[in-house]
Amino acid sequence: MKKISKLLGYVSLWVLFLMPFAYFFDLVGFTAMTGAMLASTVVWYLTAFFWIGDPQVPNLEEDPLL
Amino acid sequence: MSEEKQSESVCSEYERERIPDKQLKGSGKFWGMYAGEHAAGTEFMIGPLFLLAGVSLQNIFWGLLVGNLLAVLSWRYVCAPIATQARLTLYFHLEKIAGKDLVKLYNLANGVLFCFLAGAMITVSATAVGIPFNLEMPAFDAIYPNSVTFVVIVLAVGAVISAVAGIGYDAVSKFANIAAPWMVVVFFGCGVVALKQLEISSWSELQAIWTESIQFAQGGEVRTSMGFLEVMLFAWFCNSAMHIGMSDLSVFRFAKKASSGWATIGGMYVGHYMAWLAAAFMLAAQIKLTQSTIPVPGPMAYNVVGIAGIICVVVAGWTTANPTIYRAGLAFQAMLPGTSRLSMTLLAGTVATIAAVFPAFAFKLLGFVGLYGTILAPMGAVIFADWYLSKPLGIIPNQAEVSGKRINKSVLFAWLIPVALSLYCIMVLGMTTWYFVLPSWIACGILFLIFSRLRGQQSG
Repeated sequence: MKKISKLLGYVSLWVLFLMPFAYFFDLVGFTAMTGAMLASTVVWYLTAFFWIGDPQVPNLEEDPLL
Repeated sequence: MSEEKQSESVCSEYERERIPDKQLKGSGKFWGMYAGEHAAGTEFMIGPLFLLAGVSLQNIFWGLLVGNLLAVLSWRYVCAPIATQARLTLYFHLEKIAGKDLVKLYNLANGVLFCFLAGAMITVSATAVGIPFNLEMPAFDAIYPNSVTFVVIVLAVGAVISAVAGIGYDAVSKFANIAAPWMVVVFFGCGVVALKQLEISSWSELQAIWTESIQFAQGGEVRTSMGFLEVMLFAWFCNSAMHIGMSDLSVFRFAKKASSGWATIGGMYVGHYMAWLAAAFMLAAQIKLTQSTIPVPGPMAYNVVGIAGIICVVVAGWTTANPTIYRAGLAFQAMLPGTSRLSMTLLAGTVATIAAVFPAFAFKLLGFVGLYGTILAPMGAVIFADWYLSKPLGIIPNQAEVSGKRINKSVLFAWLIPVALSLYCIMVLGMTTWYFVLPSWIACGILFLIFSRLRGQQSG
């Protein structure tokens, strides 16, 4: 599950990265680009929860200052 | 107990002590953290404000390049070496030199400034949330809200962010960690699409359309309030509280080596270079497409990447405002012992939300960031001077800890005098904030050493 989520997450980030370039070079239209970016966003958030861990530094609980 | 939980509890255990070697982390952890942390809600505001300030494209490219390099060097050679040798939080390190009560006062100043920063981020999120409601955005020079709908949306967004900060910080922290790489890619995509919408095919065309955008925004003229020096100083000092102000001692105390300070390159050149440029191009594209010069992030992001852009603005504003409100709550709690963290976080959230109702706080972000550094960064000079110069000059290091004083007056006046003079120049004489960060920092360090000598705090 974790491996599949990670794979899907990376694929969604690559799609998110490439679609603006595809639009830039007139390979896709504006609506297709925004649609693909929204779909990639949904996939990223659905999958990332399964493999991205908690932040390791810093831990706010231990440092009450900025 | 899971490994992560165990690690967390061990970290907390060493809050007031040196971090043990087994808890230290390699530089890889810091690269990702800085890149994510500095691609945040503020970036959506800062880039467009450069355009509205009439900054030329060359000055943005070169000013940010040099200024960000100086910021990285400040982290690497001012903050990280002390952090990796002392391995203490700023809070505890300052307490040893300045005394417990003075740290609380400093923390209060921090908390109040945080509330206004969080307020600006609530405004940013509200501009995106307002799009489905056809919210009329406030004008760039607006001080007060322009409609009841704007106030209602800001209050609703502020209430949700404050409540989440109060009851569920851990979840937000995890969510921010997940959102960070996605936000960086969306920022980049926004810039690429904005360039397409500008219909440019060469550097000269980009320059021409940039100048036209400034001209349109300034009603036919091209006036600039920021040249190369100002852009460079802004990029250098917009996070001055963290590098020369030593706030990131708390982060780098976990680093194995001071060379982890180079990881801030990720934050500076992804967040404070790419993201600022992308956001600036977004406003130029908006001016071209809709003739609107209002730098509100929601509509700007929607125009370039659609709904993903709206989500990005909401998430960016939310993940920036949330820890800021949480930290402000902790600062207030330190000032008022006996109060609960929840009530103080909600108080900080209320102050931030009230500030967010006034769009001027978001639109004046460039000046505010300079003010923030001018007030907070000089305390870092006290730590720097105490660490490197106290012993050679025959002054007792960690004076408050040695004497048991709750307020070290040498630190108090060394901090207040340059900050008060700077605030006079900024508030009364109307001078630009980011000119004062470095002079205040240097003056604070020198005054601390002079006052310590004069007050007989010499060793032996």
